[in-house]
Amino acid sequence: MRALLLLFFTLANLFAFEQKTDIGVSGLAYSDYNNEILTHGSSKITLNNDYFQTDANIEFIYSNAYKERRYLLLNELYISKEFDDYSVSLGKKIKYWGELEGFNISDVYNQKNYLKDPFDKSAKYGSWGGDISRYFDENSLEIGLRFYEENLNFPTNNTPYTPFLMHYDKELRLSAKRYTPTLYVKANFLSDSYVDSEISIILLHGYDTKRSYIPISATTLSQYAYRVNKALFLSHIIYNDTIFKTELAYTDVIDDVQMSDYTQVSAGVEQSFYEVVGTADITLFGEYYRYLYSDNDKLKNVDISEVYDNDLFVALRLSFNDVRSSEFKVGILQDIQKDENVIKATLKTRVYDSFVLKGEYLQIRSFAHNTILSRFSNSSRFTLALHYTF
Amino acid sequence: MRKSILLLCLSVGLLAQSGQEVAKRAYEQISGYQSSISTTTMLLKNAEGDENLRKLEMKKLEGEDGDRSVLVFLYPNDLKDTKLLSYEVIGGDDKQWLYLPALKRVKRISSRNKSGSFMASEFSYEDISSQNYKNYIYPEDATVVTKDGVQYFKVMRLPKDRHSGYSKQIIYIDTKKTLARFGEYFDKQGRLLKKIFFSDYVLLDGVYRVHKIVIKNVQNQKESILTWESDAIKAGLGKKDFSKRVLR
Repeated sequence: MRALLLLFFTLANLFAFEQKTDIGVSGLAYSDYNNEILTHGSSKITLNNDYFQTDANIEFIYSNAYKERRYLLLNELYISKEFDDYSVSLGKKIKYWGELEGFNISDVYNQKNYLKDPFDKSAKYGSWGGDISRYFDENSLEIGLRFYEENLNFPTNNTPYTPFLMHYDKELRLSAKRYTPTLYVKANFLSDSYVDSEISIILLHGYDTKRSYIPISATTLSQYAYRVNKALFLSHIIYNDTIFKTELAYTDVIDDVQMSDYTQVSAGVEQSFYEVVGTADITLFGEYYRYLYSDNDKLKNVDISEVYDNDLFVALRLSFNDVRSSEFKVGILQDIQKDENVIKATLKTRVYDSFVLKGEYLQIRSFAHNTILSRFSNSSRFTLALHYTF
Repeated sequence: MRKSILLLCLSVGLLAQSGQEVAKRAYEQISGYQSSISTTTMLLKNAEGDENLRKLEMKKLEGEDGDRSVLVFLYPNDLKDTKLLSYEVIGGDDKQWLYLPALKRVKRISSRNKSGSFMASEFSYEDISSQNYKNYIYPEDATVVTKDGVQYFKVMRLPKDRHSGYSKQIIYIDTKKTLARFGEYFDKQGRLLKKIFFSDYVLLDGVYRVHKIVIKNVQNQKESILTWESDAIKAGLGKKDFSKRVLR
């Protein structure tokens, strides 16, 4: 016991320690599934010493109704070191690559956490890897690896938002070895020569985060990971008060005959209007997404990214600028050709200094055939959540 | 008689100082910190006396072509680790990036909202940004006024930025140390909007640092008090500490 205490105090003195913990209770009312009470939380821990920094993020979810939505997960654990013009990091990490608000076709480093919420951009699994960055004033060059591919848990029968009609086996099948790494190079340029703009170009070689499915028996499907060459282009331009954004991606499938090469295009605009009602600001977002297959006869509609094909996203954010940091957001994703859409509205306000109350309404409506959304059926969900942060 | 006229002319010449000259001297008193790291608390009070607390870490870097700053939100806890990186552009639109920790996203934001409330306080973004004298036009000479037995230079300044929330500002600068002590800010319609008070100056390594700013909105009766809990200057920070790489 004494040795443990000694170790604890030695470590406490060696490291500067910071943490941020969020614990929440949510009530979810579904139109097509059983309602649930969800206890959830995350704890972010940072340890700093003279040599390096360690970051960890632990997540947990406990649903009273759905066994699959019960987990404790070390979602991030990485060490990083900053030098004058370089930085390096190694470990399990979440990265964000994107410009647009509704959906990011470029956000392909991590797998999505479908058990947590398929309609939440922040719901992602950390990936084990490493990266090194070189900084040139405002520009940067990053080279990174994702070490291997992990199995992915999906909601299955009797759990909300399952995309499967068959049983799902989470053991991943792969076109090459599981430990074949995925390599990327990311270059970032900032410019104010003609217009105020920023461009990122990412070249990736390795496993695609979009995965197909193969039958492993008459009644069971499994995910299948295949390798690709991918080129991504991200950019934003600021002109007066307006921000124009673009994300483009081209994916060349290397070793899967079922999957077609594909191109994704998205463009958006963001415009803010300040102090429109009292101190409240309004920001409007308009975005368009297109998904083009090089071979239309190959496998389609296996990934949620394929929802964003010929779709228009229109959203509004009302920031009240009050002491409670209250905010209302509403957005609609409307397919221009098919009769399907998703509507989401969120209201958030701080009730006491450390408590945040959040209400959210989600509605999925699809009359299309053989699309991802049509598998979720026409449904709605209302969430009321109370978060405590310390 | 000729001697009296000569003396009067010399006195007027000495007393009549341009507003810009006084503002420049006042700015020089608070300049030269090179870089700084401060922790601050901001107390928000509404007309009914209800109070809310904010905590911030502020890092600043002096620059010839404008200052750079990183604000790290520490409290309320749900905003903790949110960061705002700003590059000041003299007389133009600043550049700003916001780091959102929940998404690990760095988002470029429009910086035209100079008059908007900063963290729901009575401070606007332009109130908490650099007070570089070059950001203003000085249409009048400074005049010397006496308030409560203390002499001040009264300096009128007009924001150069057309997106400023103010039509004019009057700053009172004490004649002994040439430090801004209080001021009056007028809205776009020319009505008095805010009264501001700068106090608790500390001389650190030859540089005056303000450690308390009180701002009172006379139109809505709300008040915000910004207090420095710690403050280090010549902190050895460089441009790399104020680039996008710190937003993580």
